[in-house]
Amino acid sequence: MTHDQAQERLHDYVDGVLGVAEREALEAHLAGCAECRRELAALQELLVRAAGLPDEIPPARDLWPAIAAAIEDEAAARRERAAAPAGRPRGVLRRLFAPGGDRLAPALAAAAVLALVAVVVWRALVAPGPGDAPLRLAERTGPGETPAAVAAALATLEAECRAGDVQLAGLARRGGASPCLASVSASMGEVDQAIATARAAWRRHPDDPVLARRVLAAYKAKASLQKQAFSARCRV
Amino acid sequence: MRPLGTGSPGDDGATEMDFQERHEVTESQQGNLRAFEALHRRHVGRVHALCLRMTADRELAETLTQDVFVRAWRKFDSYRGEGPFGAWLRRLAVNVVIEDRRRAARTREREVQDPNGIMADSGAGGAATRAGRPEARIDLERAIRTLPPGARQAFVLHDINGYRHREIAEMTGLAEGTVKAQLHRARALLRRALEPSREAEGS
Repeated sequence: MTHDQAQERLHDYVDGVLGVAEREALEAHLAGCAECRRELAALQELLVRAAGLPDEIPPARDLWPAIAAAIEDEAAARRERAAAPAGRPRGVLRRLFAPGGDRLAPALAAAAVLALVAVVVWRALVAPGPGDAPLRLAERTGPGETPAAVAAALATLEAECRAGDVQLAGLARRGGASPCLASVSASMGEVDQAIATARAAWRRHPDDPVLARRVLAAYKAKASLQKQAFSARCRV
Repeated sequence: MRPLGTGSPGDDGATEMDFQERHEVTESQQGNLRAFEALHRRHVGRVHALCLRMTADRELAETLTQDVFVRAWRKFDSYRGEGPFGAWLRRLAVNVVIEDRRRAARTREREVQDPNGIMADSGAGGAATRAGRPEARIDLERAIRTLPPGARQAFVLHDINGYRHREIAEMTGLAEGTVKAQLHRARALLRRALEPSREAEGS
């Protein structure tokens, strides 16, 4: 793998979307290329920071009054729309049944009324309103991974990271205080914080697959950081 | 659906809240505006965070957040409880923002070319604490706001919200390759923006 190819694939590497062969080729290149390693570390740092951003930013003002007003306006407009077509038949009815009015057979009049009522009811209950289209997309929210698969992946990563932490502590005790190791342990604090943030958010919304993925991503960042610390270059 | 948690102490609370939320969803679907208000309170921070980060415009973010909830109410029937309500709502929010961006692009034609102007606007939530970790966070938030819209969108959806390349391509109507290119561009720009030495050097 050339240096340029490696640089290009670093993104896919941190995103975990490289195939096995490509990943191995990239790791081989990384072992011998300081520039790519720096690039990778910087990228990971950015992702860790992104994962650590707060999940919620409350708006500066209470938006509910405006939302409630909009909902009520809409409901009122809908009632009006529903009432408008119903207004006409009353006029027709009056003419139909008025003495000296149109001489339609009462059966026919009843059928007309029924049809009108059906249209009005259909409009009110069934007919799609404006702005339907975008929601189709929202509905297609994919099922994502099964909870079991996510749990399994998470358990593996957690175990890996725990073992890594133990190993790393041992390394530090043995006095492996290279600048590389120091920078790794500094980043490790951030990763751990990102993991805690992601976990807290997930605990609040345990069914949200996006949050589950964030927890996974944070652990992946940690695992790859540990890998870096254990690489031969870092121990020197 | 049981959470995938590892039996941490918060689980009981989460389960209880879950039940509560489910109740609010059912009630809202039957037209109970009070219940919907509770749901709104529960989720408004997340929806607003997404809108704010995607638009880099505080006023617009508030308007769009309102819009998201009005639409959620209108379209409540299309939520059939297949996934978590929060995920459905978030997806709806992404669609609302993207749709607005398309509309704005059509009318405005030219997009905001003044990252410094946006940057001058203070951090989300007002007075920025200039100490420790919060500062780093605010710097990143601020740097995200200076990104070109396409790159910002890719970064916010992928690296902050955890959507995948393919999902983003589907939501935005862009090719997957384009989404990736925008994401990589965003990361490169952010790194440059966050590197103090280079920032001092120029631009």
